[in-house]
Order: sequence, then structure tokens, then C-alpha cells
Amino acid sequence: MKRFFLYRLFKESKPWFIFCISFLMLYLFFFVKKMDTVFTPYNGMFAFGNNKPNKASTIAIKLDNKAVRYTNNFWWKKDFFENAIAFYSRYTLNSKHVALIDYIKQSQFSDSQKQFLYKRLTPDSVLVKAYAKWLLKYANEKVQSNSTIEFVKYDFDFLANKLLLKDSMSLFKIKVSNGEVIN
Amino acid sequence: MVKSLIESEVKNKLRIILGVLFIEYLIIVFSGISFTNLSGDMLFSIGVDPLFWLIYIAKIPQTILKYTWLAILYDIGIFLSFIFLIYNPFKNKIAVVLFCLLLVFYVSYMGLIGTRNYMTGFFLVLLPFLFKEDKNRQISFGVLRYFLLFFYVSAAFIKIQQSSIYDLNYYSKILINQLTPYYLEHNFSWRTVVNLYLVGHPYFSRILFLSGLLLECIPIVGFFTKRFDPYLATLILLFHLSNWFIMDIAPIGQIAFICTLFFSKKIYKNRRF
Repeated sequence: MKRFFLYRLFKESKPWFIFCISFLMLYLFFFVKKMDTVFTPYNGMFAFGNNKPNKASTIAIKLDNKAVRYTNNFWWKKDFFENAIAFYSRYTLNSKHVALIDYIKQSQFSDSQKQFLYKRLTPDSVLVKAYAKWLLKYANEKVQSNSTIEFVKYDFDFLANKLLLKDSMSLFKIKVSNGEVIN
Repeated sequence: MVKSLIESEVKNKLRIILGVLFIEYLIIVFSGISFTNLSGDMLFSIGVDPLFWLIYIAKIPQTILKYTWLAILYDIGIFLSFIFLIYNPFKNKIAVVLFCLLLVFYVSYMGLIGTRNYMTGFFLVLLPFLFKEDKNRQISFGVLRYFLLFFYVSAAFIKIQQSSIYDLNYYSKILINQLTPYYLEHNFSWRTVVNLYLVGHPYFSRILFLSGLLLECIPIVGFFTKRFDPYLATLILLFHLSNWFIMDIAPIGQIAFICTLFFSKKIYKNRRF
């Protein structure tokens, strides 16, 4: 008993003991609720699998019909592109909505509080309009004054020990006219 | 005299942890991820996390990313805080500033990619540096150590709870999606060869998955003794490095946090925690 960390903590410092117990309780609560927060991460990485055997997919960005390459970047930047492209595609296909909008909509907040939260916690669709152009600039691609940016989904099948491209589907296109994003 | 010698020894060990964190930060910045580089990115998505809400309600990431000069200042602030803190790891006020700067950076970056990476150790490692009193610093090292151990053991626990260990094809089904952008760009290497082999050989990939699960479980030993902490740190690093190679998940940002285990006994020789 005397070797237990919490016991020793209790003997040494009451504030630290209370802090740790509160933290553990909070952690347990979030853990049971499967809530992922910065200080209480629900570390379920890859505990939830892929239900589609032998199938894979990815989304790529094309500028004037030419695919933009990003896998040669070092991990953090490569990770940024991979996630940002997928995230922007979801955002655009979901009528420029992020998941938090639905959460706030169903919450107990008053209408004025909800408006405030929408404004602060969700992206401004006007500011995001030129996002695809920004993303390409970040990838060191030169967007011409009249260009087409396209987001394409690629599906792969695993056959005969190879990953073979099965299908591709254009998700949406963005036109740039005179340097301005027009849709 | 003796006190100053001990203090200088402790200081050097703390400097090593901070040095590793600083190198990780520099790698992240030079790979192209910093407020300066991301300036102008106004698209974000955050989850239901009170801290994320607080930081975004205060419009901190939105404001920094809107003005390039502010983003540059922010990055310089992180850089200088690192330098000052490495020079004197006992300056807790600088540690508080650096902790806040890195926390906001982490939260902002996760908002921008619309997901959550596991590298919370990126700022949590600074927890013991936040305190002025030696006693509090010692306790927080102990608290941080248990948090680290729990972080990995809980990941193993969730995998076991989700029954993922019983599905023969579980890992190969995950691996098939890990390197798809590389295949699309025809960016082939040793890693894609290994990836294809593992996807095509579920039995072998299952053995690897179970080995990884075992590595995640092993930190449970640390709840009972500190004797094996350096070995635990080595095994956790091995787990992350193999994940980097096989699954393309780099541990840059988490290494300094794990390295604290190397110093569990050495930072404070007489510590009780």
C-alpha cells in the first residue's frame, strides 16, 4: 500500500493528490464516453478496423488535369496534405459544413449563443472560398490566372499481390478566372 | 557546493529532454509546418473538446493565421523560448510561455487538418518545467510518467476490448489504406514492397500486429517498478519507429515525451516520485 504512487502523493502533497484524483475521474469519464480531448486522449489508434477487405481509396488534387504530388515531403507536411485534401473534399461535398455545426444545432444553447459558437468554432465559408488555391500555393504549384482545380477520388483493388487502380471519380471542380476563385 | 553540483547535473539532464523536443520542433518547422508556413489557411474543423473550444472562441488560431506578421512573431516566440529554456531549464515562467505556445500550435494544427494526431507529448513533456518549487517538479515528473504509461497501455486495452486481435485479416485490412497516396504517385520504395507483402500475407501481418500490441502492453510493468524504465522507453521507441516504417506514422513530436523515461531515476537521484 505504501508503495502506491497515490498513497505517497497523499502523504506528500494534498493539492497534487486532489488534482490527480480529479484528473483520473475526468479521464475515466471521457474514456467511458469515448471522448477524445487534448488532455484526456482516447487513444484508440487503429483499434477500429477497415471493413472493406482488399479495397483502398485516396483523394488527390489536380491542377489543370495534372496530379499534384506530395508524398516526397517529410512526414508532417505529407500528413498535412493527405488530411487536408480529404478534409476539404468532405467539407465541400457536405455543403460546406463541418461536423460541429450539427453538434451545436442539437445542443441546449440559446439561439444567440449558437450563432456566436457558429461564428467562432466553424470556418467562415467566405474566407475558405480560396482554400484550394491556397493549398496549391502551399504545395509550390503555380496557379495560372485561368486554371481548373479538381478533386478526384481513386479506388484500388488488391489483386495478385498488387494494388491496382480500379476506378477514379471526379468529386468536384473549382474554376479560377483572372486569378479569382469563381466557384 | 554539493547542492550546486547536483543542480548542475539535473540541469544538464533536463537540457537533454528540452534539446530533443527542440530538435523535433525544428524538424516539424523545416518540413514546412509552422504558423508562418500555414498563414492564410482559414479552413478548420474541431471536435467537442472544451480546450479546443476555448482556444478557438478566443480566436487565437484564426487571428494568428490571418496575419503573416503575427505568425512569424509567434514562431520566433517559440524559437526564443526554447533557447532561453534550454539555457536555464529552471526558469518556469519561460516554460509556461513555451507550454502555451506549443499547446496553441498543436491545437491549431489539429484544427487545420480536421483530425487528431496522437502527439500530445509535444507539449505535455513541459509539465514538470512549469513549476518553480523542486518538490512540485518532482511530483509532476511522477504524474507525467504514469500518464505516459497509461497512454500506451490504454491503447492496447482498447484494441483488446474491440476484439481486433481475433480477426485474422485485421492488420492487413488496415495496412492496405496506409500508403495509397504513394501508390497513386508511383512513389515506390522498400516500404511499399513491405506493405504489399504484409497486405498479401495476413498471417505474417497478424504476427506483427500482435507484437506491436505486446509492445504497447509492456509499459504496464512501469506501474510497479521504475527499474525497467529505460527498457520501456526503448521498446516504445521501437514500436513507433516500426510504425513509421510500416504504417507511415512518424513519431516526431512524441520522442522527447518518451525520452523522459530514460531519466526516470537519473533526473532526481533521491526523488520519491
